[in-house]
Amino acid sequence: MSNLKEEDVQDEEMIRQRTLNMRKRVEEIMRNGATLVRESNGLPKAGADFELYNSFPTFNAFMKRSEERLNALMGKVTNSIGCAMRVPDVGASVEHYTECVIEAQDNIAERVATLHEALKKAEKDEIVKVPEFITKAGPTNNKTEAEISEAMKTFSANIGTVLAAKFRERREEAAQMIVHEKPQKTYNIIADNSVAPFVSVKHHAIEKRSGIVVVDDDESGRIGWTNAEAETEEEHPYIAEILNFKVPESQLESAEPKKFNALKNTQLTMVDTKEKLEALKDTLNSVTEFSVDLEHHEMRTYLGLTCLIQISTRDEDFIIDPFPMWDCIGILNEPFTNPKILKVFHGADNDVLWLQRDFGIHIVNLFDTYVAMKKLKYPKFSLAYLAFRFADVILDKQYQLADWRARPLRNAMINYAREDTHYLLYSYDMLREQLLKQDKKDLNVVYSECNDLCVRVYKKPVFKPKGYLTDLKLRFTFNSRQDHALTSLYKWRDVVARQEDESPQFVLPNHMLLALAEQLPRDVGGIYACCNPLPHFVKKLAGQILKIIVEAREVKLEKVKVTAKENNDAQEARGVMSDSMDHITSILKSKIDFTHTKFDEERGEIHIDKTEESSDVLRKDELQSLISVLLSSSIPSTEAMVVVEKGKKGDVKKIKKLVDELDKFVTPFECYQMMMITKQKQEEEERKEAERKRLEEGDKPKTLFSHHDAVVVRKPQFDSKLLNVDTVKVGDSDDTQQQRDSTMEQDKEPPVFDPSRFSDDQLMSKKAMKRKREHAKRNIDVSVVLGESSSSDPKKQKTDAELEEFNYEEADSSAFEKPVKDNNAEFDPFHQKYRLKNKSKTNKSMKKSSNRSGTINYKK
Amino acid sequence: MISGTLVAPGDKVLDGIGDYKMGNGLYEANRRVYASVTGYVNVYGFRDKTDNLVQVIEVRRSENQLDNELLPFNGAVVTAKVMAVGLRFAKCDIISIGDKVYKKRFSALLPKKKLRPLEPELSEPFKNFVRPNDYILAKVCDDAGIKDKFVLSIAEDELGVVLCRGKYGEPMQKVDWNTVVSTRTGRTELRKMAKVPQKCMLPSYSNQTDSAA
Repeated sequence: MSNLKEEDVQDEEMIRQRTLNMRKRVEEIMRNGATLVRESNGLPKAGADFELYNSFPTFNAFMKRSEERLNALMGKVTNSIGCAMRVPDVGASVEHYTECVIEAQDNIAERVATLHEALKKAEKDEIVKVPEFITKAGPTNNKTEAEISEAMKTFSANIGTVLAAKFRERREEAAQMIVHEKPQKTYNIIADNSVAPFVSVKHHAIEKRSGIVVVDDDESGRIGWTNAEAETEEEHPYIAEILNFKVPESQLESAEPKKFNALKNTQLTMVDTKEKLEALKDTLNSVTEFSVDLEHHEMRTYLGLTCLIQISTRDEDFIIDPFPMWDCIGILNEPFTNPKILKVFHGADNDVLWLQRDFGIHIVNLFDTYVAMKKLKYPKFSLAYLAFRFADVILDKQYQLADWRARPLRNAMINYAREDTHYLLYSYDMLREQLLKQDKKDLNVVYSECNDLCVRVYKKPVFKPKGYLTDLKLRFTFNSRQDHALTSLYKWRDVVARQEDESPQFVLPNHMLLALAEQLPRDVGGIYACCNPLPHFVKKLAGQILKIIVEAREVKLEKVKVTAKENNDAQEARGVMSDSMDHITSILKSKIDFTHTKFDEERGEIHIDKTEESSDVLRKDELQSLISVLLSSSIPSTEAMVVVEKGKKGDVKKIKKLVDELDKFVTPFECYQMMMITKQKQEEEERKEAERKRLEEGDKPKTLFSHHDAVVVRKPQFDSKLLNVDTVKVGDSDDTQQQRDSTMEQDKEPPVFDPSRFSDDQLMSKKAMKRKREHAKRNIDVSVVLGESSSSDPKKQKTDAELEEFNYEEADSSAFEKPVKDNNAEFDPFHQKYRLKNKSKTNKSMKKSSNRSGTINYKK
Repeated sequence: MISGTLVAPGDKVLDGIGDYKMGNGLYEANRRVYASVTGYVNVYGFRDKTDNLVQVIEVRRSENQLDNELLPFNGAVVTAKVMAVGLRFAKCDIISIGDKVYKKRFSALLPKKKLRPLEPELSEPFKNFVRPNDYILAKVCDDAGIKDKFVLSIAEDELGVVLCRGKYGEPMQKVDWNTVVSTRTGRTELRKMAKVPQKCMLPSYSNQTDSAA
């Protein structure tokens, strides 16, 4: 106890001393600072003496050197405290300097605040985590760098500078990371981009029983090129092993998870020579499990290129650079296909294929942590999440999409790479335990799924001439020219890519391909305009592209009809459902019920084979169902439904009274109907009365008229004697009626006006009469007075001469026996009929309508 | 198509319109005539203005026109309740068409000019004919001017107010065709009553309370 006390006292002393020293130091700095300010104020100022001084070359040179020195100092000071300053170049403007200095000061202040917080926390907690300082050159511990940047992000108000710094870093890195020469060329890695199918190499295989070998000798002369999918099993060299693979007992048992060693404690071996590879192989053969990860590049290569293999055992990390010893990597196949050694991957779908393709390495006994995570229903399935969950490590994923072909590999990238596998084995342990805890069978399920992954055989991508329908997002349909261009360019791109061993995307990116096909530029300039930024091979082979486009332009223009199947495929690939209606979907989506109708307008007249209909289902007669519809629509009888609360006894008397009341109630409409009925009845009665009356009294013509009666057109009776009319009306109306009827019957002709029956003064108008009289006066002819006509004298003389004595016996006297016809049945005292004929031409009455307000128009 | 055939909506009635004229319950699509309601096909003829015989084909449920129609049709006698009275119109709700009582009430207007037959402009206020909360018998008219509501008319003798209530909720009794009297206060008010037998009466509120007790 006392010992501790002594130590405490000693510590306190030390602390006091330290603080005193600090205080002294700070005071010294303050004093120096003050001196600095005074001195600097003494310097010549801009706008005053500075220009004059600056005109002297020595002064100028001195100032420059001082500036350099000062910049260097600033840089050093800020670096040493961990807040690197953005040191402006010599000759920068004053504003820039001010900006940088202010920035630096801000950073320092923030740093102080962070540390202060940390220390405060440290007082409360036991562990003090002070972020490590790093100098700008080559960070060795990526983890802490990531953490610092996180911390700075949260505390720093000046995010802009932090981000700006990061971007600059990356740009510099990128600039340093240009691959000058393709590794395929450097290391003589030959890629077979031909159309021939992939032939996998088999190392260390157990000899297969030689079964029947199928030699397919078709007309094309090609032998043995079997059709892919059906022969998967045949092709996989280790199929026998995999199918017979049983998970070793040790892997199925629950065991204590072995924690990984810290990164700095783990030895990292770069394997880039054959000897090292051999050594690695031996190491791997000796362990029971190891984790693997690959880094792959697909831009500057047609099929793809594995750039890096990372392997971790429990104690060591290995990074294999396959380029120098490409063909030798295959020796690793031994530990990989050893069913007693477990390989741990994360997301092995592609890795398995890449290993096969590039090195001929197959895998037996695989555990994929991704599959396990899915089985355990983790929220996320990424490797970063896995590392975070189990290793409490934040993986910096910035190099995931970096170009891994670059050599020499930067440390940052190496670190990133090894981290990928370093934590995998521990994660595997943890996941295994969890799977066993969840369900014993789950582990087996995971292994069987991983087994399926192992069985996968690498197949070279086959070029589909119309592949662009599914691969590219076509925004609209192309016409025949554009379609031709697209197809040709698509093919050309593939050919070039295979030739130059680049990815099609590098030769001509998709969007540029679409742009070219859409616009069909006429010249090279147009091609360049479509392809911005200009890909290398477009520039090189612009001539070929132009040729294709010119060819396409000459194609006859017509709309390309994409077949329904192609359309469907394309849409499926895009995950879009077709919105169009066709025969089947219209019926499915239709809301009309067709079941009970004979005629279906959607389907049209279809002839159903009645024999096909099975009689299991009892089909209702359509007619019956329709009738039921009609009947049900009729108004239901107004039966009162009495709703009584459950439990309560209904008051029967009250209910009955209510129902009676309801029945008694007569609706207004019923009253109306009653009224209408009575009205109808009344009308009926009235009509009947009228009928009766009529029948009784006979059909006397009305003699008494009133102004209510309709106007009667009465035919006036007149005295024929007075007016040279033939007919004589004597006696009752009946007789005359009969007479008239008879005459009418006989004489069907309309009554002809015969002017000879009237005297002149009856027919002619006043004026005409006057004219006639004048004429007569002028041509007084004695013969007229004596009874002979004057006008027709010369004619008459002729006829007179020819005139013979009339023979009365021969004359037809039947005319006298006939009853005289009454040609003029109508009384026409003012000769209206005759007048009307002439008057209609003159129309005088209409013009003077104003004078004729009182007169009655006799026009009919 | 033979007259009297039973059809359902969507059934093809004719392949072509031919000499027929389209009546109710049909629609034309793709130059074919289909039925739009369930019913029987009916062909009838009438003479139009130029004295030609016109054959009309239609689909209807029954002989009675009232059964055929689902909505208030032109010339239907409806029972309506006056909801509000304005300057030129009285707003009514059609309760029943003929004898069919509907759950949904149709909005209708009763213009001032259709209160009395043969009298276009009336100086008398609406008050003397109908008042709010009166039940009236009215006829649906065809008025092209008003498109969103039905137009009613009580111009005939048999149409008009059938039941009405007074100021205190008491039922009014008919005195003659133009006046009613309140059963409670004895005051008379003017209404245009319908010339129908007064068989029904509104229950008075006092009676109701009695029966409830």
